[in-house]
Amino acid sequence: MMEQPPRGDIEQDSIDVVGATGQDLREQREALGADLVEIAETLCIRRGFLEALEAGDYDALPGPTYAVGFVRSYANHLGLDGDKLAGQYKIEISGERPTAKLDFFTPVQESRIPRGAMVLVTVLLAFAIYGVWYYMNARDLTFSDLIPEVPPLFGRTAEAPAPPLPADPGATASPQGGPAGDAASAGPAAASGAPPPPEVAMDRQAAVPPPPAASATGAGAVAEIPPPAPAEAAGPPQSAPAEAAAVLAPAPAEAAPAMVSTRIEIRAKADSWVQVRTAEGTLLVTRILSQGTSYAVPPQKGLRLTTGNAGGLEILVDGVPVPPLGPFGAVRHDVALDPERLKAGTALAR
Amino acid sequence: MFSRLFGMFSADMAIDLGTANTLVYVKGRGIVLNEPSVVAIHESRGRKHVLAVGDEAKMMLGRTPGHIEAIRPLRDGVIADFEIAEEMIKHFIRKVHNRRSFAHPQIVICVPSGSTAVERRAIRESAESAGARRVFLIEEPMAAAIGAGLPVTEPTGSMVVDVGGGTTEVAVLSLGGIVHARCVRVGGDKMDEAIIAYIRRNHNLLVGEGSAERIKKEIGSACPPADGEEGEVMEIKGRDLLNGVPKELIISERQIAESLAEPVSAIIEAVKVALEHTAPELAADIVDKGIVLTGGGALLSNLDYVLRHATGLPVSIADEPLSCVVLGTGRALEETKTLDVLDRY
Repeated sequence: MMEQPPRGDIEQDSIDVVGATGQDLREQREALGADLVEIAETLCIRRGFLEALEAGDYDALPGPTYAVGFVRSYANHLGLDGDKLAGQYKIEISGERPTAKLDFFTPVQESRIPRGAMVLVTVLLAFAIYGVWYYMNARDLTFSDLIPEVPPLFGRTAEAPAPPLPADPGATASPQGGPAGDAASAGPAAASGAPPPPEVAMDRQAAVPPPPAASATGAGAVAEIPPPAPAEAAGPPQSAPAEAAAVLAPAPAEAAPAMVSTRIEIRAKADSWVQVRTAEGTLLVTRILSQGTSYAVPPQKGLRLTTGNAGGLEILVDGVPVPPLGPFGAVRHDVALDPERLKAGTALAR
Repeated sequence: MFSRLFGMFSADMAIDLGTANTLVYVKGRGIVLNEPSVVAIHESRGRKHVLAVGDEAKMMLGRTPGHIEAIRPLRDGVIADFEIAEEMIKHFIRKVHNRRSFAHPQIVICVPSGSTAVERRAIRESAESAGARRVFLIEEPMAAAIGAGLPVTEPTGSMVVDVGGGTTEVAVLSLGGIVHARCVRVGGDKMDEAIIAYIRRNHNLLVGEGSAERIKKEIGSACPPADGEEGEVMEIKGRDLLNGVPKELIISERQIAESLAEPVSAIIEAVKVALEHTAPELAADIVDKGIVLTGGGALLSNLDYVLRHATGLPVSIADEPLSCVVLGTGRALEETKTLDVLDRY
């Protein structure tokens, strides 16, 4: 270290000038006649930095921490008060260089719902649920009350699968009084626009309410079908839908006992696959008739039967067996389910 | 969401749990506590009570009667005595934390980079049982670098040497993380021990830890004065080992520098090894800017000079080296984003 009396001219007021520290250092070095290169070597500080420091070009120096260290080392080396000059330098650069910001690199967020939106949605949802709960509680409602009333017509359909059909003027005026349960024998008789009962299996019939009123023709004589009951008789024990139905078409029910339902019945002697289509091709039934069960064909015109086991089926028209469609295991397509043709044995498609 | 709410009521704090001193920084208030990490325990009928913590306890160090024990719960930068350390942390938190606020504080504590998972857990649990709501750990070199104002988050290499009481941490940092760190268990304590050993060996005089520390602070130097001078001298007092009576003698800077040669060379070695492991790009950054010294050891005179000669790099001493670590920890506490980053470790 080179001995040099401490300089008294480094005062607060001289600090205002940017570069004052560098100037002080340079003056001191020149006064000592020291070489910058030598000093740079001794202090291990690059000459460029020392020159920048002396010239007051503080932007060329590395971060403030390092620059302050350089100033302190350099000043101490020149025999100046390092801490004092370092303090002076700090005042000079204050305001010019903000302290290093702590911006850590963080991984880029994958595209996800922003947290705020998530919270908002959750809160809204919570309010909505609470609102519904409160509304229901306040009115003493249950969820089923919120579902609109079933339209009357549909309601009947739902409760009575084969609704009594309104009398078709052209038909036999045969609305059935009863709900007509599965009533293969029921509804479609009138050939109205009402939906025909999809299918009825005889083995289920025992469980269903009595079928509609018997017709004058004596149809419905199928063995399994319980004896037809008059509409009046069926009425009272029936539940509301039945009454409703009666309301819709009470008169004909009383006037003329409905006509039959079905004339054709398919009975399975052995498990046989059957498929019945309407004339338009709508599928009425496709299933395997297990041995002993039977299927009452709806009284509809143009129905066609396809079976995979012609010999396994016994077809009855008005309770009387007709000639078999084919041998056991034979496949028959498009058998016309027409009573007359079946009787005549000409039902098989050509 | 709630943590921010609580944050408004609690005095979140940053703690530099050092071997020698514990510093506490409270968010928005700065450094509020700086006391030695010493606890005095009073033992009666087999039960232990804390008698004093901090400055008071340090006065008792080495001067206690049988029923009082003055303990430094941290050794080599980590907790050596779990229970005592917990008591100490509790004491400091209670002293600093506003009792009126009902929320527990969030606490950031720095740990040596070389500490094991068990040691970290011990520190974390101590703070939790002392009433912390959440504990974050930050590695000491990172805290020191932030506190020294180094551009740690920038893509440029910075080297920091933190000479603490128990450990010396050498680390190269870049992009907000530690690229390479080396932690040697040499620090102020080892220097004190070296001074004690030297005086006993050469002068048959036994001095206490406190005296040794005082000698180090007054005339300690990393290298002997040039031109064969003896440098500054100091009177030291202790017990003569030969005839067992208290004795006084005069010791010089040169002698102390000799005694400190071993710990100082260990520090230099650590720095050199760290430099060897530094990637070339970072080494290029460090050549220009050099090394920054922090920690109490940076105050040892001529340590920068010795390091500069050993490495050929410019060596700067950070401003307020003693509080760099706690300032950096506090800075991390002040910036919530930083805490989120710390949370991942």
